[in-house]
Amino acid sequence: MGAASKAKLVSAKEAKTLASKTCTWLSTREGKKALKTAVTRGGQLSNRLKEARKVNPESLRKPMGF
Amino acid sequence: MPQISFEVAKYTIDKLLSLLASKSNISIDVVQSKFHAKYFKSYFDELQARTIVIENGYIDRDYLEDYAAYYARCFREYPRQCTRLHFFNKNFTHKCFADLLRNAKSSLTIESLQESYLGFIVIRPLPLTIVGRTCLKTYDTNGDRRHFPVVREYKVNLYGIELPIKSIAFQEQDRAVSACATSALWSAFHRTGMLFQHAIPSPVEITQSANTQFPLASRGLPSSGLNAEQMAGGIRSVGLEPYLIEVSDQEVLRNVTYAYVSGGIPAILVFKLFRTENNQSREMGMHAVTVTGFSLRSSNDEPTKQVAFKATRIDKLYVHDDQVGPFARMKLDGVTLPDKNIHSIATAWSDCHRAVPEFVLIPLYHKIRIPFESVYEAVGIFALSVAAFSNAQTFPYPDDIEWDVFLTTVNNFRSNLLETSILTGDRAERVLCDRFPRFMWRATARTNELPMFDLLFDATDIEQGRFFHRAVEYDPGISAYLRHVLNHQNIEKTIKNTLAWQIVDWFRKNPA
Repeated sequence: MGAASKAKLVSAKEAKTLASKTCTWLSTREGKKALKTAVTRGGQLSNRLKEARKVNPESLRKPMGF
Repeated sequence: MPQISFEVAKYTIDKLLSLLASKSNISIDVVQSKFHAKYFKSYFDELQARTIVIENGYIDRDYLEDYAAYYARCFREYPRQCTRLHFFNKNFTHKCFADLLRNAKSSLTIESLQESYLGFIVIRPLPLTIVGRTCLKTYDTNGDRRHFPVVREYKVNLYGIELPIKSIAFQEQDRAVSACATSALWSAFHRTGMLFQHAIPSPVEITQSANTQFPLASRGLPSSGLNAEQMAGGIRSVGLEPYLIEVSDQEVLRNVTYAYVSGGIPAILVFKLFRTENNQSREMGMHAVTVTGFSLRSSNDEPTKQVAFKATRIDKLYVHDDQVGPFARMKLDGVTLPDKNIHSIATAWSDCHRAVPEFVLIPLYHKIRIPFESVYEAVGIFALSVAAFSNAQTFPYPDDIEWDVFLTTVNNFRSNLLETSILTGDRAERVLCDRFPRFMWRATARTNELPMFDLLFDATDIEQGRFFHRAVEYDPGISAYLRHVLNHQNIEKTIKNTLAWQIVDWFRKNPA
C-alpha cells in the first residue's frame, strides 16, 4: 500500500467496533437529531449555490469597458 | 528585404520601460504611468530576470488579425510589425548569443537558454495599449501554496531555438478592437482551445462574433466593451457552453472557482471596480479578468470540527487582468467598502482600488452537464453526516476531514492515481482498468492530508439521474466503518430523499 496505509489508525476489526458504537448512537434521540441537522445544513449549503445561479438579468447587460 | 535584427540587453526595469516606449514609439512618461510598469517591476524581480533578447520585426498573428480588421483601414499609417522581448534569468552578452546562432564556440548553450527562459512580451506599435501577446512563467509554487492549473505549454521559437514555456497568454486590450471582456475571453480560449480542441480566435474575431449575436447592445468596432450576454455569445461561437453563477457571496466564489479552475478550466470573474479615498468609495464600472490560479492558506490555520471544503482555504486568486498584467494577485481579505456594507477584494491596481465580485462565467465543453451545485449538494449532505458521526466521538479518526471537490478527466484521474501510488497491487490495477466517463467530479476526503476515499460523479450524466459513479477507497478501516454505519435504518430514513442517497446506496451495495 502507498501513502494512505501510513494514515491507517484503525484495523478493519476496530473500525467495525467503532461503527457499532456509532450505530447505537444513531438510534438515540441525540443521534437522530444530529443526523437530521446535518442533512438540513447540507441542504442550506447547496441552497446558497442554487440561489447564486439566479443572476440578476440587469447585471448581464452592463458593458465591461475597461 | 532587410535582415531581422536582434539586440541583447541586461535586464533592468528602466531598460524594459525604455524598450516599451521606444519600440512602440510612445513617450516614456506614458509607459511609466501605466499599472503594467509597476507590475512588471515586481514580477520580473520575483522571476529574477537578468537578460532581454529583443527580436525586432516580429509578426504577431493576433496583432495582424486586429491590424487587418481595423488599423489597416485608418488614415494614419500604423506599422504592421511588432517587437518581441524574451526574458532569461541568466546573464549573457550579444556576442555569446550571436556565437550560438553562428554555431561558433559560445559559453551559451541551447539547453542553458531553455532552462533560464522566463517568457516573452510582444510590443505593439500602437499609441497607448502597447502590451501585446505576453507569455510569462508563473510564480513558483512556494511549497503547495500557489496553484496555476490554467496553463499550457507554448513552444516559442527564437531564430530556430525552441524555448518551451508553461503559461497562458495575456494581453492588454487595445480599446479599438476589444475591451477587457474580450481580453479575458481570449486568455481563457488559449486554455480551452487545448483542452477541448477548438480554434483560438483573435481578439477582433471574439468581439465580432460576440456582437453578431447581440447587435444592438453596443457598437462592434471600435468596441466599447462587451456585456455578459455578449460574452456568453462569444463562448458559444467556439462551440462551448457558458456556465454563469453569481459570486457576491465570497464562499460561493471560493468553492466555484476552485472546483473548475483546479480542473484546469479558466473562470472569467466579473466585478464592479471601486476607488476608495478618505473613507468613501466611488464605483468606476464593470471589469472582467481571467482566473488562472489561486493560493491556499495552510490547512492547520483554522481547525473547524465541522465539514471543511479545501476551497475555503483560498486566500488569493491569480488573474490575467489586462489593465495590470498576467497572474496578478487579488486578495480575498474580507475587507468591506468604507461607506457601504459590501465585501470587497483587493486588486493589483493599487491599494485604493477594490473589487466587488458580481459573477463568474465559465466556458465548458458541452458534455460537462452536471453543474457544480448538484455535486456540492450531494457531497455536502454526505460530508455533514460523516461529520456528525465524528461528533459522536466514535469516528475512527480524531481529526477533521477535508473535502477536495473539483472537476477532472478520466485521464487526469488515472495519471494521478498512478503518480501518487495511493493504490498499489491488484486494487490499483482493478481501479485503473475500470471504465470511467471522460469528465468526472472528484471529491476526495482527506484527514491529516492523507486520502481516505474518492467519490466520483459522472459529469456527463443528467441531473435527474443517479450521477454518482463510484467510490475509490484507500483505507480499509474507514471502508469497513462506513459500510457498517451506512446500513443503519436511520440513515436510510433521513438521507433517502436527498442527492447524497446515491453515495450511501453505492456503499451499501458494493462490498469493500
